[in-house]
Amino acid sequence: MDPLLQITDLVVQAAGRRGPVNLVDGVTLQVRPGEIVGLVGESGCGKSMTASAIMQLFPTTAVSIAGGSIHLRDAGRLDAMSARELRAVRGARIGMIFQDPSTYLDPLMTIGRQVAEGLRSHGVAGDHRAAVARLLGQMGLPDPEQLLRRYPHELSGGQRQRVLIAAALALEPDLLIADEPTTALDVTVQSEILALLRDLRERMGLSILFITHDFGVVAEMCDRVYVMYAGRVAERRDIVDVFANPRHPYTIGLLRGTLSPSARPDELFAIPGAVPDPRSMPSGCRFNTRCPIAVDRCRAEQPPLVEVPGGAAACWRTDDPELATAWTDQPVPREVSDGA
Amino acid sequence: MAPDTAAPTESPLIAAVDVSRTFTVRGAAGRRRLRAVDGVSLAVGRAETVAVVGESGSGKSTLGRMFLDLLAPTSGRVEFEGTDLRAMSRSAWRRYRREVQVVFQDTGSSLNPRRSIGSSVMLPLQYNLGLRPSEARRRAAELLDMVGLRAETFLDRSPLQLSGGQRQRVAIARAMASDPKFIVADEAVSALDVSVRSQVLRVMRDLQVERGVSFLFITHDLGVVRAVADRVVVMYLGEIVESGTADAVLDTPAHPYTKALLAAAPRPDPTVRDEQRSRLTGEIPSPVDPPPGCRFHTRCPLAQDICRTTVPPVERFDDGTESACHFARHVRSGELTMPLADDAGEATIEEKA
Repeated sequence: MDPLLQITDLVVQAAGRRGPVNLVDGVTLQVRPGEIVGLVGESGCGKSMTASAIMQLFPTTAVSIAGGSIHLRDAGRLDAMSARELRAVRGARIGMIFQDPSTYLDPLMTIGRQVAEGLRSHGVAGDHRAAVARLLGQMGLPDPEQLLRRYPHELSGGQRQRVLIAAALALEPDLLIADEPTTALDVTVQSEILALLRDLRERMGLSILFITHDFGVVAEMCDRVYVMYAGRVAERRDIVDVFANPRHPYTIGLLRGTLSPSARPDELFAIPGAVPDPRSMPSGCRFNTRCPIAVDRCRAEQPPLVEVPGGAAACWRTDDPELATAWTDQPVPREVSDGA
Repeated sequence: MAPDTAAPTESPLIAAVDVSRTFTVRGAAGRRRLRAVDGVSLAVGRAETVAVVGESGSGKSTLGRMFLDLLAPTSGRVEFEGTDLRAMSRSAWRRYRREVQVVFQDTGSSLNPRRSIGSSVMLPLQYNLGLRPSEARRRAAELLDMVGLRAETFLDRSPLQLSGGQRQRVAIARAMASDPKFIVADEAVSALDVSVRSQVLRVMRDLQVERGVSFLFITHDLGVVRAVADRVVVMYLGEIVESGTADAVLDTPAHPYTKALLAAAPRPDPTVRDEQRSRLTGEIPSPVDPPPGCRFHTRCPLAQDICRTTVPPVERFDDGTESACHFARHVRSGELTMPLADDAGEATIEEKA
């Protein structure tokens, strides 16, 4: 099946005082119809930048697409479109939801008008109240008729996120970009929103690009996952494979640091160090400065994505038996010296 | 944060004794009283970590603020080292102020944007510990290094130049600067990436091991609770519904609300997806009008007639777990199971043959 979204060799650049800086550096990513794809990594790895590039909604005008292509099925190359052409795609083909729902709702506009706005701006004529009420009902919101006349402050955080999902899906797009949509919510509400999104996928065949830093949420939601590090894809895997047998030391480290309510961890594991500054990326593999099994080759040559079962990993040592125990043999790094 | 430390037997470091806090809210129906915390007692021992969990509106942050004296209890009292905060001498109160610190979730608003990071961390060192500026700067640098922020880079930066995770770590460094005995961490690590979160939790644990600091972790993240808490307290609509050691409460919960929270928590295992688990429906009711009987009955999949009319007594178990549920023993033993998300059927107690 043709992918719905095909990103190829994407480069996102920021203009800097000392020349341009690549925030996203050669990312290739696919979302197939009806698929939920996770995009994970620490802050500063380029996952939100990659998602912003799809609709070219960058935080500042200093950031732009500098290479590669973004192709949406039946729409063509989004990266080559004018702002006006992109507006036609936005909403109609691609919906978006974000972390903090209150930021994206106008406090002075009723819920009914905000959800209908997408319909109006795309020239859908007529009275939208019935359609909007039906949509709000589909999002699991009680008393949708009543809700039309209410204001954002009268709603809970979970209800606001449902309203935003309704607004994002009003024109029945086939792709939803969800950027940390449940991070600010209570676990009980998070679980309901995740169930709603899965349900929408089943009912409408919606594809979702789901950006999160939480591997627990990835496990609940995604069919496949892209792990990003320092502007590049470190690993791309089917969901069961990434948890059962991760093949990049970065993924292994992230999973090891993920806390689960089911079991007390032996130790609080953290990958030492921090994501490198895009202005001074390490040569070779960008993870080599934090990697416990880096060898000379890792410092000299950038590893390509090579096929592994259920996906691909960009690591020179992905077939090395030492990979599995990469972090377990490491003493836990301590910031505080023992005074020894 | 040793797993086997039970409730302290010696006098607690800090304790809330039967505290309540009401707020007056103005709504369509006029002025009404909202009971955010209702008759809660909670003691924290030395070098102990207690987690308070519950949804927004459970009263957990209001409780934390009473420990910090940012809010006075409407009734009841908070005692620090055995002395009521209201009855403290001026010098004792100043010591309390120094030894009890807080890290909030939203550090954007708790760091002064016109001060450099270094100066924000130096301030308590100079005021509370009386260090000279040069010493304070050196110690501030150590503290920043400790939370994983390279001092040479960050000392002279403004909070505005920092990411959320970095500001969070500055707030933790600043809380630690006063050499505290007790730190309230109100969703302090929720917004952090996994690696940074573990680094910060480790810094906190080391502080506990080396200096005997106690923590009150207010959080909705049960993974964090499991990793760091000795004891856990579960709150719902202003009341404690379950408490006990973290392992007991998370392994064998004795209250349906605790079970529901656990069921909702995402697990890093794609083979046990949440569609196979029970889910709470609806949202937490308004504390202005708490439901009669058991406050949880409107959302409880196990609720029976008695739950709608009668406040449940506290059931005590041999291992120290306490649960305010009419069916606590059945819930804990597993005789009473939570229906799955798509199960419409009513829960029943299976009689043992």
